[in-house]
Amino acid sequence: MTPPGENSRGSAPQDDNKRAAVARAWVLRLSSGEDTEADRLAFAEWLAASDDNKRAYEKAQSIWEALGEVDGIENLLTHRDSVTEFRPRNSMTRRFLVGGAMAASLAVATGIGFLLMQPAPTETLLYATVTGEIETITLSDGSRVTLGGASKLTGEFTPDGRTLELVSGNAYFDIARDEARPLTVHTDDVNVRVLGTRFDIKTRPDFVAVAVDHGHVRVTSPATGSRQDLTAGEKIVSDATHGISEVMTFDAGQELSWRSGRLSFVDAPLRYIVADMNQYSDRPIRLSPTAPADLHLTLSFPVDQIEQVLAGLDAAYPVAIESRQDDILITQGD
Amino acid sequence: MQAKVNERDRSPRTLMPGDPVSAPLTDAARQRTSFLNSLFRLHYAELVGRLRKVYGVGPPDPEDVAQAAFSKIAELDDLERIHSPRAFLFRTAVNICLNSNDKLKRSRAFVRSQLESNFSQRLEEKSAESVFMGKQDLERVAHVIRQLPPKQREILLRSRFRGQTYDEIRQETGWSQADISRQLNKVMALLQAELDR
Repeated sequence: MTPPGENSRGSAPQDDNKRAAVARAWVLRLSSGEDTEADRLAFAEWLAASDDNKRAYEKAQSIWEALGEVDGIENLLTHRDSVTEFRPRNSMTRRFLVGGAMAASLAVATGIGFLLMQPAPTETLLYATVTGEIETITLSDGSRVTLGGASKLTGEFTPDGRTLELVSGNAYFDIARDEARPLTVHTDDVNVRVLGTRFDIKTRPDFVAVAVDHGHVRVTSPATGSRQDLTAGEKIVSDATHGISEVMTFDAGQELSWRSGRLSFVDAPLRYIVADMNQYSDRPIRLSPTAPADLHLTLSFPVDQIEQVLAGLDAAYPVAIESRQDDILITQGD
Repeated sequence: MQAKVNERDRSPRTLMPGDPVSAPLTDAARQRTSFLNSLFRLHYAELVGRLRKVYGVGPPDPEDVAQAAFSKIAELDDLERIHSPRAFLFRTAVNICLNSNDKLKRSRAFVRSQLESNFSQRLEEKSAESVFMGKQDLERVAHVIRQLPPKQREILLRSRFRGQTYDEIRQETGWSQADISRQLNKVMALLQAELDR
């Protein structure tokens, strides 16, 4: 690795920032398992070049090391959607239905060995996107899944079945038909079982929405024991307290436009819109307690123009947008 | 990661509660033994639980790693200076796993040799009193981690805690090495920005 240019002698803030970035890059490079002999020589030279470099490296290294001292780091990195607050729910039922690796690790933890005797999965899946990223993946059975921003999908395909779990965010599923291997998508609230069809699932801290684009699916809610069959053009939402909602119709052009990088809302509450925006915004958008979270809006915009849209809201509605260094705050406006 | 805990990292005398200790039983030695025993009693099960979250059923086997971490602690001269045994044990255990990957171990040793010739402060686990950050700063780190998108959390878990190389992460997730590097650099920049505030 050639560290980005570090030639400065002065200590202007931008030099220090650059030096800190170089130091962080070195820490990571030397923890990557991919560093070469040439890298190590270049690093030794850079380190010895100035005391400022040494201090910057020491600082970056201490951040990397300190990650191991964070209380509960194992939970922060492995739990589903740790951004959300704790919600009591009967997760045992759900976890056991998930099967595969998660059930296996739970089985060991609780000493229930029989689950381990189930056949080993033939294929373990893991896909995740960062904020702002939309990605389409083709699975081994020919199914295609488009993941929205900040989303995570895991799963296992065995000879007998196909299991996916939408851990966070949202996804559009175009599932290849396989009568012998039905496919189930698990979420926090509901399970969606299909043979072959196209549908969209969005998970949020307080609800899950399932919308069917083509074919039909069966949605079950383990928490409430309710179930609902859906066909093309139909949609439900489900939450832990109410279970599955009445069947609604939806406009595919609007509801599924996120796949081409456009978010569309018809008469939707501001808090729903903000939750979607946060899958794509560089800076988190926060609703202050005074913000009109239930203000209903009709909007359509590309995901890379969120800030412009917010500025427009500020001008046209009783909301105030405060653009800060680390986040964007929405409060009550005039 | 196909890592196994190196044989040499395992102590020949795995510490168990109530084990007789062969050292001369001075008061200091007795105190030390009783301290180690209480440490084991209080923290062993929880440490295994924490490691199981990171490594699953292994490899590396969480029980093996936990025992190796206790063995390492038993070798320390300045036991009484451990600030938080719980955090120290976990960090030590994770480092044992990182060192079980030969590539990572070699690079870590190289960095250490460079730093030791240049620094007074030691950046490794040998010394019980080394703490990288105060409690408040650690909470700020946790705050940043909570907000990371799933992909960045996944990469951080694999690289920093499971000790997977970028190529191993690529093979299991399909993300390119350049992408992995970019995401980790972003995470580190966020962490430093938060800590420098």
